[in-house]
Amino acid sequence: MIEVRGLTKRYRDHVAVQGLSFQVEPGEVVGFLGPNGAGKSTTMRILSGYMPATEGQVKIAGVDVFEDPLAVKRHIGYLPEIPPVYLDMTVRGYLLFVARLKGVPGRELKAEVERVAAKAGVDHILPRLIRNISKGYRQRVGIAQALLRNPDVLILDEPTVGLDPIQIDQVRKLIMELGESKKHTIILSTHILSEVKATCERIIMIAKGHIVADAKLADLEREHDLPLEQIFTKLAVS
Amino acid sequence: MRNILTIARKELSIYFTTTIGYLGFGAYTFLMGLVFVTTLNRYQQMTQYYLGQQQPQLLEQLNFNDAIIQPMLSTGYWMFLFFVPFLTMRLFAEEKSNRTFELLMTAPVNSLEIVLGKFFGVAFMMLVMSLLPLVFPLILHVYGTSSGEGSAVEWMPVWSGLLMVFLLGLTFAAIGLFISSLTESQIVAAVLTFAVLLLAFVLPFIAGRLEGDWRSVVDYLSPLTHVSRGVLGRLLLSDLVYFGSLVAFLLLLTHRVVESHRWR
Repeated sequence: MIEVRGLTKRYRDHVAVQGLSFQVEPGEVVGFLGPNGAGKSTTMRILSGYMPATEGQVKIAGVDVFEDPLAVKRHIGYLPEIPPVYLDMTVRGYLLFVARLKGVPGRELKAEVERVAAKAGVDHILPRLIRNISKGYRQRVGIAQALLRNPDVLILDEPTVGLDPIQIDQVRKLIMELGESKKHTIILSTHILSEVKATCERIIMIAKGHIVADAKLADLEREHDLPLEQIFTKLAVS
Repeated sequence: MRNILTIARKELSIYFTTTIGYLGFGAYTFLMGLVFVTTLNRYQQMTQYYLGQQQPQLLEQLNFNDAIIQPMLSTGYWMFLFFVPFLTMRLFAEEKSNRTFELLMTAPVNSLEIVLGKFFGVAFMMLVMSLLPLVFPLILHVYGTSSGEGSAVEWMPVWSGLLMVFLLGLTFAAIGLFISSLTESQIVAAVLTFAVLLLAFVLPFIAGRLEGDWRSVVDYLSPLTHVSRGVLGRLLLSDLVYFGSLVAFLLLLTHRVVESHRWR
């Protein structure tokens, strides 16, 4: 479903990611793990088609992101690091706007907005102005937005940042639920280890722009014979 | 087209969930009302003066179009200088600083649709702003009496004037949209737009101090030269072409700036 080959991104003389290659199969839930500044967000932004890579190739559902960005974007639901919400719109107005942008047909708009709102747990605050809702709810509105039109691929950049423990738990449950349905391929970035443990089957660990590990969680722990925390520290530093 | 309208609609909904729309329209109509009352008073004084002077031939020349509507239209577009930066500053700058730009850029829409959507949104605001002063000639039409047959207001010059004022508004909006696409800060966008518009208003004065070819070049470049002809009731194709091409050029520039985010 996602195919990345030799992905490199340079900002002038700073190299953000260097030669990333990996594949994600349909229905997989992959945790993109790395310390702050490792290049997670950069990779996510390239996958979503927000910015181009300096070198390398990204294919989503068999289509090249740089060759046919519009076709690829129809397959993707993307939650950026900071939820992209308009503070001066109501939750309902915002979701309707994004649904229209994503090409949900007029007749289905209302039902589709209500479906994702219920999924993300924001159905009771639909009439409220986004300016007046808490950070946790804004994050959830961001997730609801990503779910619109049932995308094949979900790219979630640090989906639980800024949430309280109860909300973190709810968001994780939601991700697990989405993963179990096998309808979505999910790639989520995080620097919180317990999150990956809770939600992902597979881990891609990056440090300083390079992939340092790419394996199933259980295999990784067996191979290093260490708990994930220590593997992370070891690989991130080395 | 659907995407363009979706974005235009969003822009409008933001104008009217915030105070921007109400404040803009409110202040504009209030100030225009003030101008109307002042010019109307002056008109009355002039009539009385001429009557006192026993000069009916001067009274003949006095009419609503020259004495009230023209000055009003001119004041109206001077006010754009203050209102347009206020309306356009947030268009792109706010998207960038709030990171919603990432949503637009990852949605299945192309850059041209984004630019046109935003332009149509603000163009609607300019349309309303250009049509609001229509109340004043209407009042004159209803309550005024003409010495001869028909309405006290000559309507054709009113229409041509309003059209040119609207086109000027579109041009200013396109300038503001372009500048907003260059920065992340709304304040920078507003100040820069104000400065550029101010320059447009100053150009005729600069032209006045020049001579020969330069004078006609600077005179042509100034949007005021073109709009003032329309306000006087002269609708020239060359003026329409001037505004049309300027707007198209500015939208093209904006599109290039937005598109550049995709390969930066």
